[in-house]
This record gives sequence, structure tokens and C-alpha cells, in this order.
Amino acid sequence: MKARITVYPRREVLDPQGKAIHQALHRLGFDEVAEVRAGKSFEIDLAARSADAARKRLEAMCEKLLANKIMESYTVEVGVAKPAKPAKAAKPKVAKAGKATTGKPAKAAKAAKPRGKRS
Amino acid sequence: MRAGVVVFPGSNCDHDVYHVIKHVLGQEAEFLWHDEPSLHGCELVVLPGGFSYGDYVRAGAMAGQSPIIGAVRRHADAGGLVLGVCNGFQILLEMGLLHGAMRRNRDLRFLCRDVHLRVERDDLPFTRRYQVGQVVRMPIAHGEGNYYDSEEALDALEAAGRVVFRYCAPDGSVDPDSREHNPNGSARAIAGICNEAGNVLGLMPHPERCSEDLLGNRDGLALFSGVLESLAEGEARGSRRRPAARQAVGARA
Repeated sequence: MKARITVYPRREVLDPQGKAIHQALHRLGFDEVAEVRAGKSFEIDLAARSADAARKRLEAMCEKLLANKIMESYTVEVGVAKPAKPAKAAKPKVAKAGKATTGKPAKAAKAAKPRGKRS
Repeated sequence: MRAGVVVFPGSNCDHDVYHVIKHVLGQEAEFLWHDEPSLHGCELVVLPGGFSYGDYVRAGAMAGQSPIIGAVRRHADAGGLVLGVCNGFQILLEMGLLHGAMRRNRDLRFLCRDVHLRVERDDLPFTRRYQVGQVVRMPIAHGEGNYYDSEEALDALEAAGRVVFRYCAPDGSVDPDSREHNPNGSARAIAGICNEAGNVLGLMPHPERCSEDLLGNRDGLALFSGVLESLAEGEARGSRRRPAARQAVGARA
């Protein structure tokens, strides 16, 4: 069974990489870009009785190794037919995809700033 | 003192630590290959700096699942001393022996330079030869040392007095927003933390790279000699368990 795991920095965590890419896109004239989050994805081929069983195992993999829950969140997609085919990339199956391009820029950066509490 | 330096594929500060313990302090030291199941009776276990497993997935994530990790965890749980430097600190976070996570440095640059650190605890085996408020100089060399945790977790860390080193200006003042004096952008300028019992320390700066006059700086040596002193005392008292566990310094408000 094919699956894809996507890992992103949590919204409230400052993502310096995404910020740098965001700035670079602006420099290249893509002024419409409101926010960029840089993450990573894993394509996994695994043996499982059902999609549900596979999902459980994949989530365990995220908890143990693939994501660090302190600063990252993950999504698991099971039964992705041909994960790497670029032609299909325009219509991603993830429910939340597309959200980031329509909304206003999130307040993530602000929340993550250290407050400098000290004696 | 008998110290074990764990060697992962990609560790590159293992020999530096070994050298300080063996040749500068004249103590027993040995390398422990990452797929060994035992620590060979070592009293101090060091997870050294480097790029274990090429930083795959996240810095320290793969090493945190190595076969030797179970033995390191048992050693720590029993009160044994564990020191994680740089990548070793990242591994301790990934193992969950210390809380928090490392982001890429604020400016996305690999930083290789000297920093000033303010000592926040002097009651640990690692810091007993320093004094609270003392400013020391140590080198850093990392791309992911931007310490992060939730505000609640940071508050809890501070309330428990578990911040051991902070990045600071030469005069000891701390400014988390300063690019000069908190170069990687760490939350609350945190450079090193310990666990509740005080027997596990993780820090990003490299004490092993500044432990000899020949290198122009020996501010780091007190960390290793403090451990030596503490273990020797423990031996004299006939108990090597729980060498640290003194009450935390008052919560910093």
C-alpha cells in the first residue's frame, strides 16, 4: 500500500526557511504570495490489511521518528496511487491544501517570538 | 572517572571529548559504538557533537533511535551522568531526556564563532566549578541550535531552574532579541538545560573545544573537572547514585 506523510512546522512555530523562501519569491516578482511554510514529505510503501490499519501504523511512525510534535504537525494520506507523478500535483488530495493561499497571513511568527523573560 | 564517548556515524567531536578526558584530565575514557547494547560501566556518558546520520529527518532524530540509546536512558534514569554537546544536545531532545526542540538558526546560517554564556546553575556536577552569574566564553558550531518550546513549557523550565547556560553579552546581560548576543535566536537565549534531577545536561556550545591553554581558552575545562570532582566525592561517600539533585535555584521571574 502506498502512502504519503507530510510534515510541516506548526503554525505557531517560526519557520525561518519558509520565511526566506517567501522573501525570495517576492524578489522574483511573485507579490501575491502571502505565506510560505517549508516542510517535507515521505513516500512510504507498506504492507497492511486495510487502509485504517496502515494509517494507524503510519501515525505511529510519525510519533516515533518522522515528526517532532513539539514543533511539527503531520498529515497521513493512505492509498496515494502514484505519489510522485507531477501531472497530478495540481490537484492534491489533502483536504486542507489551498487554504494557505486564500487566507490572510497567519500570526504564526508573532506567537513564536521569545518574550525575553528574565530577572 | 570512567567516561564513555558514544560514536554515531557522523559524530565528529568524539575525539575532542576523548582527548580532554584522557589526556587533559588523565582519566579513563573509551569510545562506545552506537550499536553496542552496553555502556561498559562508564560513569559519565557523553553524546558528542557532529552530524549523526547526516542529520536525516531532523538533527539527532535517527541517533535518538540507535541501539545504544536504551542503555543511555537506563543510565540516566538510574541517576548516572549524561552530557550532550551540540548534536548530543539535539539527540537528548529527540530522546525525550530533555524537553524542547531545535529549529534552524534564526538567520539560517551555520554559526561557527565564540559566544559568551552566563552560568545559571552552579550546583550540578557539570557546573559546580563555575558560579551563578559567571560569564564564560565557548565556541559554537551549528546550523540548528535555535531552541524552541511552548511558552508554558518554557515557563515551567525556568520555574524549575533548569536553564543552565544562557547566551549573553560579555558583561553578562541577556537579550534574546540581540543577533550579536543570542546569535541563533534561541527562546529566552537558552544555550543549555538540564533534567529535573540535574544528572543530564545538554548544551549547544562546545566545552571540549576550549579546555586547554594551547587552544587559547580553557573556560570549558571546569565542566569536565567538575564532573570528575563530583564522581570522586560520590565514590568517597560510597554512593554514586543521584549525585546532583540539589534543590533548584530560585525561580527566575
